[in-house]
This record gives sequence, structure tokens and C-alpha cells, in this order.
Amino acid sequence: MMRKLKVYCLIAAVASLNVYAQDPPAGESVRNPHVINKVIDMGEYLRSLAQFEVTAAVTRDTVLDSGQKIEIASNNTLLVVGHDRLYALADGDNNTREFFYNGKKLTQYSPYLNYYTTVDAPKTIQETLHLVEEHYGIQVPMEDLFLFGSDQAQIDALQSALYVGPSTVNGQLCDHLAFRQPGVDWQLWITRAEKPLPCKLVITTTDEPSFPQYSVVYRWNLKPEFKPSAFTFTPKKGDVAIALKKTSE
Amino acid sequence: MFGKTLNGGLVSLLTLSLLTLGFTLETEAGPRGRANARASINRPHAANVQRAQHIPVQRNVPAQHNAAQRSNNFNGQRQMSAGNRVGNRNTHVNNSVHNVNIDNHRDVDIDVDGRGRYGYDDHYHPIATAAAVTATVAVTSAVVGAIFTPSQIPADCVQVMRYNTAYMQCGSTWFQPQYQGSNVTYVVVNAP
Repeated sequence: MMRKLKVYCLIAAVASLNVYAQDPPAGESVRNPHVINKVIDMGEYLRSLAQFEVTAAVTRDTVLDSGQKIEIASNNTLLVVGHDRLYALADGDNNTREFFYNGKKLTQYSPYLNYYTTVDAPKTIQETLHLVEEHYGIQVPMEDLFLFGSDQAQIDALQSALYVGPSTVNGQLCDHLAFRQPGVDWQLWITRAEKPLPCKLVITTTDEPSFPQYSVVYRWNLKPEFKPSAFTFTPKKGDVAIALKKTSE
Repeated sequence: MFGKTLNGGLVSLLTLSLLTLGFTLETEAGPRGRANARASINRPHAANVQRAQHIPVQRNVPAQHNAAQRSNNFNGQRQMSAGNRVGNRNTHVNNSVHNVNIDNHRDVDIDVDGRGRYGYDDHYHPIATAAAVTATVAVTSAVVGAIFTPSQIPADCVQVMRYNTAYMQCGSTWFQPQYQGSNVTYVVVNAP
């Protein structure tokens, strides 16, 4: 009896060793092509929309110099018509910014400070996003929505792409995907409904020691109501134009 | 990225102005915001980049290694073990003590829009009215070109319009607001 048990133990030990040997070494990445294709499809679908309005509940961590994380909330809105009109609002606990883009000019406005700045902008949203980030260090809120799966270099940078499982966001059935790339882990939820819209996005900054996160839950409206004037900034009484520093300055 | 370069410049400018002026910026300063979580994954790119390509997925071929590639059904196998069971949750929230200071004095030093949506301040300074009172602000001739964040400029500033330009006058020091990215900063300028 005792001997038998020993043999079993030995077999078990050998078996478990075997399992370890066959498992991929810890940290080996999985790049599930279905997952990557799903992001590309979603991005292409978003770029094909004639118009949309998305409202989003956003949280973003700020790291104090003590290392402690503080979560700052904001409510964001993005209204897009065609490829040349955009209005964005990030209404946060700490600061509030509005962006107006009409195919010719882009204005950044701080309603509580009454400061605004207007710059000449290219003809499309895509080019404008590139220009304002490159020249001025401005990130239009939720600009990822225009960029998912558009740049091959971005796809190549993915070190892993995983399918996590189904998940319910805002009562809607979504697929939960997880990605890793240098400096960033991110998770994307895409609805299983006919139109492949994103439900939620979480970005973890992994090159900061305390791994601060940004999280956004989207609500979509593909038939928004808007006034044509919504995309052009008109200063109100008390609004003051201030300079916009170039990143190269 | 932007924040880092800004901070670098700021630190050197600040050190300079501190050395030359003995300019007490913050007295009761609590922990200060240092970094933010990234808010985007993708970088806006030029129009001529290579477009992302779908990865060809063989149909009806059993996968050799990756379980999740086994079927065409996207809702394949999970690649994550569900072993993270959460046992006792020790999340005990003590509601008896509200550690919220309602006299507008924040315990953290994060830049905030002045006169923000919660209407904290009558005067400009976004943070710490209490700290501001005790601050010995000896801004006599701050170095022109030095850049300050909203929480670093003195509390007794008033906005002044001159020649259609906005200035913040803080005693005898004049600042001009500007955007650096989406942050507002204040540059020391000569009196207009």
C-alpha cells in the first residue's frame, strides 16, 4: 500500500513537471488575431460613421508625489459630423475644456477661466488631431475613437492581445479584450450588437510605478441633434484670447 | 510627455526664481500632483502612415497552440484563469468622520481651474485659501519669462485687461496666462 502510494506520488510529480515543461514560459505573449481584427473592424466602423455623439463617464488617476493615487472624474461629450466637424467637452472636477473644430479653425476654451485660443486647422479631424498634438501638445478628449486600428505601427506595437470573455456594460453584452504594449496595458469592451461600437476602455500606465488608470464608459447616439453653429466658437462677454505655446518653444 | 518637459523647465525656472527672490510659493503645501494616467493609447498620425491590416485567420483549421484560435467563433476560450476569488472583503468605509474640508482648503495640490464649476473661490487662487493668507509673498521682481502653474501664483492676483490682453497682476508682478497643451500656465512679464 505504502509503496503504491509512493509510486503514485512519483508519477504525479513527474506529470506535474511535464506540465510545467510544456506550458509556455511565464510572460510569453498571446496575440489572438481575432482580437486584433476586432479592434481594426471597430476602428473602421467608427471612421465610417457620418455622425455620432458619445457621452462618457471618465475617471483618470493623478499620482501625487507621495505615490498616492487620486481619481479625478469628468463627464465628456464628443459630437462629430462628417470628417470635418467636431465639438468636444471634458467637464471635470478639476478643469473643464471645450474644443470646437469646423474644418478650418480649432478653438480650445476654458469656460470657467474664460480663456480661449484659436488656431488654423487642416481640413479633416484626423489631420487636425495629428497637428494639435504634434505642434501644441493638445490631446482632444477621447481621440482614440478616431484612431483605433488605423496605423499599422500601432498594431505592430501590441505585445499581447487577449480575449477575456463576455461582459455586461450599461446593460449591454460586450466582449472584453485585453492588450499590452510598451508602457501601457489597455482593455477594451466592444458590443456584440450589430454595430461594433466600444462599450468601455481602460488604460493602465505601466511605466509609472503606481500604475495609474484612465477609464471611460461610453454611451452612443448615432442620430444626434445639433445646431450648425455647434462647431464654431463665438466668444462671449468676458472671454479672453490667450496664447497657445508651441511644444517646440 | 508634455507634463514631463514642462516640469523639467519649471523646476529649473523655479529654482532660479527661488534663489534670486526668496519667493515663497507654497507654505502649507500638501502632496502635489506629479503625473497623470495616460488618456489615450493611439498617437494621432500623419495621413501617409501604413493602414492597419487584418491578420489572416485560417478558417476551420484546428489551432495547434493557442486555444483561443480554435474556432471561428470569437467567443472562444478564455485566456485567463478565473482563480482570483475574492474572499473576505475588508473594505470598511467609516462614514462617521467626513474628512472633507469644507472651508475650501484642499489637502492636495493639483491644478484646478480658478472659479471652477464648484465655485470654490471668489478670488482667483484655485487652491488653499488658508495657505495663501499665511504665505509671505515677496514678489518684487520675479524673473521675466519664468512659468508658473495656477497653484503656484500668489492668491491676491487680479485679472487686468491692457491693450486687449489678459494679465494677472499680483502686487507688482505681472503674469500672462497661456495654454501649454490643455494646461493653463502663467508667464512672468514686464508690467504692461
